[in-house]
Amino acid sequence: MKPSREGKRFILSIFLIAVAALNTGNNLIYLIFSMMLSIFILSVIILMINMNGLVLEVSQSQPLFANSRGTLDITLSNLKKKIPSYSIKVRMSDENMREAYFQEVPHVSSVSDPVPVVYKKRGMYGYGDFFIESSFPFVFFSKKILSKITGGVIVYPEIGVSDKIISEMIREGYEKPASSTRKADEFAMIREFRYGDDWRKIHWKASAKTAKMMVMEYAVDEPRKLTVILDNLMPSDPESFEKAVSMAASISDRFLNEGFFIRLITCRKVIPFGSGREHLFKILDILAVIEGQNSWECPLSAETEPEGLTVLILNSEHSPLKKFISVSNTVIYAATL
Amino acid sequence: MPLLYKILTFVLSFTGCISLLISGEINYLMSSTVTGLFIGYYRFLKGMPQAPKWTIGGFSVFTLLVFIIDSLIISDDYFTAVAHLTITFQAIKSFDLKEPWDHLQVYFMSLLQLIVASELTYSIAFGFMFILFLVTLVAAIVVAHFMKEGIALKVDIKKPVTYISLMTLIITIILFISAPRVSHGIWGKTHKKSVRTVGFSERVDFGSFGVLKLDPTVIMRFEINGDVKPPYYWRGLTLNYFDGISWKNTLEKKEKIKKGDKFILRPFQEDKAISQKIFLEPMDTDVIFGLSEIVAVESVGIILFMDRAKSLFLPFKKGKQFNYIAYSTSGLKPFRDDATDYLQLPAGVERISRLAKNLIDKNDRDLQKAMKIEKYLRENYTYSLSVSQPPPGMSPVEDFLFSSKRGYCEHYATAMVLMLRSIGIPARIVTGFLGGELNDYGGYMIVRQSDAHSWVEAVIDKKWELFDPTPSVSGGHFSGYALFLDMLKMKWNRYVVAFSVNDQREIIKTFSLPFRLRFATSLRLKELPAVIYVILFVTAIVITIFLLRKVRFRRYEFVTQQYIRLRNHIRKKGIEITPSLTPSEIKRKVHNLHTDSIEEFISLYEEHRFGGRDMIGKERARYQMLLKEIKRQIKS
Repeated sequence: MKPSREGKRFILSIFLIAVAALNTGNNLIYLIFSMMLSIFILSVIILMINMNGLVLEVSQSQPLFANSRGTLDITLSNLKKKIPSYSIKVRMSDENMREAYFQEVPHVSSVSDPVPVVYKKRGMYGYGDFFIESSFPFVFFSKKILSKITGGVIVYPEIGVSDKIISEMIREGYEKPASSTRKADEFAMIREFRYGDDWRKIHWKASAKTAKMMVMEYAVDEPRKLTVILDNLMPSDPESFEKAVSMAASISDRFLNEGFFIRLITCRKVIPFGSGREHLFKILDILAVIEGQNSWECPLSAETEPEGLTVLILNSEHSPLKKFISVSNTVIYAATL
Repeated sequence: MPLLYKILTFVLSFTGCISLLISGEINYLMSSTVTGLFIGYYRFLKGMPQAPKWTIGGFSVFTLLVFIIDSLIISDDYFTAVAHLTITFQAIKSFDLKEPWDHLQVYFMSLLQLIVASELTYSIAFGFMFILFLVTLVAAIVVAHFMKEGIALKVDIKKPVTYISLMTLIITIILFISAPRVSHGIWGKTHKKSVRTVGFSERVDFGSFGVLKLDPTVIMRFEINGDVKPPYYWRGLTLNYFDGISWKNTLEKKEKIKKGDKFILRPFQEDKAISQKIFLEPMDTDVIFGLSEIVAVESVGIILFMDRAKSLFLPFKKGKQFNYIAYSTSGLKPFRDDATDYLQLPAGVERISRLAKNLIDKNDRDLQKAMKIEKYLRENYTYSLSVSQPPPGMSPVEDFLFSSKRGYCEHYATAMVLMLRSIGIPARIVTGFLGGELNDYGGYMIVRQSDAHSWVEAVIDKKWELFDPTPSVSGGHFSGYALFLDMLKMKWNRYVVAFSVNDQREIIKTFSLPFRLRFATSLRLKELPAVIYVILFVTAIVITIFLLRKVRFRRYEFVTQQYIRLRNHIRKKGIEITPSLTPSEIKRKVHNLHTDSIEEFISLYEEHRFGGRDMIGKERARYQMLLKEIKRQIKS
């Protein structure tokens, strides 16, 4: 508990009035002194009661992207059976979050406040330390309780940084459907089920024969495929690397919206082809925490298994991943972003 | 700014000023600036613009000049001048309320006004103002809290404010009862004016009681235990020497009465004595009153003196309410003095002497003689407060007896004393109060200034006997409302204004009774003030040292202050930190304390202390947080 500037002056006033009361022996000054002291005592007691029984929960209702304004839901519960809590502030120990303010938290209930939050970098963030603060009922003292919140938030890479490049890619024909001479409803092949496929197109007979889920593929359904190869091999410039990650995320987001099946290949991690919003977040989950690696140990190679279009995002001119240039439709150097 | 906040500020400011005005002790011309308060707050509540800075500054300087003149010339009292000053400042401030801090200034100023008022009045109106102030202050500070948070008030604060106000009131009462008391203060002197009275000093001019008889001011309240029937003669002072114009006490030889539990004037049986709980209003006399004959007095924290006529005196005039218990016995006082002291006659009383002799028979006993004179005066003279000046060359007593035949108690009593003395019976005049009006609301009696009375004590068979030659007249009575109000005043005076160490002891005894705590009955609260002085003295020294340290500490920049704090914390942990140690050396020294944050703290310190960069914003907060973290780590 800490006295405010007004609180310090108030305490000094109490002391002076006490001296005046003793000096004069005047009971009316004793009365004023008693009032002042009771306000002082109550400001301490009520503040303690006010802060008692408060439980803080933090949750994320929307995905968070680096350098974009998102929200965290701050929920404050008052476990006290009869007494409400007033004027409570919740503040994060670091500077990412604006403080949340609750004018009243009724007894045995919870109040939520969506608080705008901006994270400058992608990654996993623990919720960490929150401070529950109040100076109610008066302005003389403030009390701060440290609340360690377990769990955390995943911050995805910034999206939309590469609009210009993506527009160029689209101009270059990325948006055109894959070339096919077959009619739209013509059966093309039976292949193994992949994440994102329509369940209604499962070929049950073939599935039974092969003991694997097989789907029928029609000419019109031939997916437009895009492989994003992200070079995360020993990035020399962290800033360029961050741009490369954002580029990969932006391309995935944009082309998934266009209906593409996207595959992400990075050093040690591969996200197979897939589509839809859920697939986007699979990719973003990887990109949110991706770090530079010392060696290329990718279980899948676009070089050996080229499928659809390929975008190669290289860290530097001297990257060992230049070997993929030959199979790539677009090569992006992170340093030029 | 919410309207509620503005209204609360106005009410507080108003309460402070009114509490001064109701005291009646301040100069109304000097306090007329209070009208500015209403204009200022009218503008403020209507949202009109505040006065320009130069106007406020100009008025403030002018007010300070007026204050100096006021304290030196107009009021000739620093304290009263401060009261006027606060009223004017409140009025000026009402034109300059912008920030929430301005409102807090108003609250502090109102508090100061209340303190000043408490030194100027004991009135129950102060009590009402105090309660209004308390409730409004609580509400205002709660709203101020929300204002400080910068949040528009959306919650209903009626409930919390009501509860907090009630709690404040209850705790205030508890603290008021339990706060240690010093009987008459240390250095302070009261600024309250006492009730002006006459007839209770060493010299009483003939005819002065007439003024008192018109004054309905309550002077005394009492409760009687014991078998005693009215009329109640509240004996104050006796006077033995009359020079034709004034009565004097020439026998005065005040003795200090030794005190045990009580001041015992004469041994007595307590169960047979008439005890009177008396609550005296402040009076400009040192005499205390009781039914005749007072044999003991019980009160706390006083010294008592007695003269040869058994009149009782305090060492000072009663500037404050004064409560005591007087014990009286109904027996007659034996006469042991020199009779000549009570036989003195002024020159030119032959006619009075002849009248007295004509009234009595030679063979009458002294008692019969005295009763005949008393009866004569009662039956042949008219009681009147409108008495004209005697013709030139005639004494007022002669004028009363032979010419106007109209007068009041003083005329009757003086005439009787002179008549008794002229026939050789020692007699003296007694001043005090007669009677009392029952207040049914509080079950006590009220004595007013208009009940002031003088009567006669004469030596009959070597004992002092009371005679009252004044015919009885019925005085005015209080209305029911006035009696109820007087009961409230009585309670206020008894339980707030005159609350004492004795009351505290009684409360402790009452509460400790069920537990049979022996120490409670023998508790010596008198010694408590000494303990308080020691505590206060020590506190004052601690605060002084703290402030001096703070002043010394403030020489440094924020960055260095925090660094010094770190060094002090490490030193407290038992690690030797000499002034010559560099930050890096300190870092190495505390390496085994496993404080992770010290590295970052030291580098931030070096960067800002020697890098010429100011530490602001987030860096500053981070720096402070690191220090807290280090402290926590060192502690654990």
